[in-house]
Amino acid sequence: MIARRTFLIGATGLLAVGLAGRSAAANIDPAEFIRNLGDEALAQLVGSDITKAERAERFRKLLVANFDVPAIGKTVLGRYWRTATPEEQQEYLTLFEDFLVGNYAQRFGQYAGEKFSTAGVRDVGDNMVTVMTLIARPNGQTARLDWLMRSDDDGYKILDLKIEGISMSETHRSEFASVIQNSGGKVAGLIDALRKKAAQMGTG
Amino acid sequence: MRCGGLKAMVAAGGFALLALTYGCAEVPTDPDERAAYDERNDPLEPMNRYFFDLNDAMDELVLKPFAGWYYILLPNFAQDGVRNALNNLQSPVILGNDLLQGNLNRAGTTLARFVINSTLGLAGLFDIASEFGLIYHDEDFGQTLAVWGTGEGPYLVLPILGPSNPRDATGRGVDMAMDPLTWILPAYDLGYLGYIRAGVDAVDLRARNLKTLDEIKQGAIDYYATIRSLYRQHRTDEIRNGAPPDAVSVLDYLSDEPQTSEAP
Repeated sequence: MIARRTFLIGATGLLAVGLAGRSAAANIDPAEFIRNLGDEALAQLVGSDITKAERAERFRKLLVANFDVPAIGKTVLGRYWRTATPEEQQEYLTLFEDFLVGNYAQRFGQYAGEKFSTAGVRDVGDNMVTVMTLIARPNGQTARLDWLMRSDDDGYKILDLKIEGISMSETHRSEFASVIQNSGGKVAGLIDALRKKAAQMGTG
Repeated sequence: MRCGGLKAMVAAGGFALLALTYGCAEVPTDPDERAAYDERNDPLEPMNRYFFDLNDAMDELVLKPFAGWYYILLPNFAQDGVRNALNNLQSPVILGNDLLQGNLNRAGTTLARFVINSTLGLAGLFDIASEFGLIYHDEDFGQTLAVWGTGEGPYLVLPILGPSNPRDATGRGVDMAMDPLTWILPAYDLGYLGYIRAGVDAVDLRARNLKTLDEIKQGAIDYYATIRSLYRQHRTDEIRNGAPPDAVSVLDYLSDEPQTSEAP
């Protein structure tokens, strides 16, 4: 009798764990995803005891795991993606990742005392949602951060980040377009500039 | 054609010689390049880049050092006091534009803030009103024109004043005319206070962006184009008072490239 009851409890327990595990992987709440990412970024990237190279490496891992970097890279290249050769596309995507690491990794070093809260989730269609978050600075000011995310079989991947209405993708898209236009419409000119920047920032 | 009209306008603004010297960017004939040209919306780019570099050099020489010392020497609460007082002085202009945009709710907030902060807040040094949930917001005539349906026009970099466009430059002038202090101070031979206010405003604003601007400049492969995009997006956000963009525009933007869904 006792043995049987123990077995039953054990079985339901296992079932519950199994179900919870499944639902967490298939449709984790997008706001939860961002909160987890925020906590992880704070834990791994903030602090003056981390060397720059270490922070860059940790940032790159978080970036690749949580952002759809190839999709962002293509969006940022915009109409010029089509005109690039497959080799150029490949090299561009590698350099684009370095560019993001060079631009954003070290910005986490100086953050202190910021409070992060989610302020809502908006469905924007096509399996995409925007998670709205607020960052409260120690001086009382708040900043709006909006994360555009798309879900697929593996869960969520971030496509864009807007800070106070300013989109990361849009900014780099017009920056890259300008560089390409100033090199006679050639993507090679952009790749060259990105390579030089990576060397200068030590992210290559 | 487009460029010709612009030249006339710039001439009216007193930049005739410079516009002629630096000329207009060439209008491309290829449809794809033409689309890129229209998106850039910067027919005076050569002249704009000239002023951008000039402003940047003056910033490094004058404004940034001042802002750096201001940031280091002034304690945080004093910097907040300066910002609060400057925001409070701007209240009449913000109120006027709230009303011109037909936003009575926000006008009420601005008026209540002005009364509370000018008195309890000791001439605006303390933002007491925000403790009552009356949060500061900015408003200017450039935004009012946008709400009324005026397009921004081509990008302009103004000497000293920086990124702008015909709509926002016009707005600046109207805001100045709207500001009671523009008329009161000179009447009492205190016109110089207006310049001091503008100077402190510039230094405080710059001090708040020391690190951010350095990081952007260091990381950018085209600093000019980055600032141009940041300015436009910032203005769009201000005009919408921070409201999220229509879902459609987000989708448009992403479906620009049909292959975004799969990795290469």
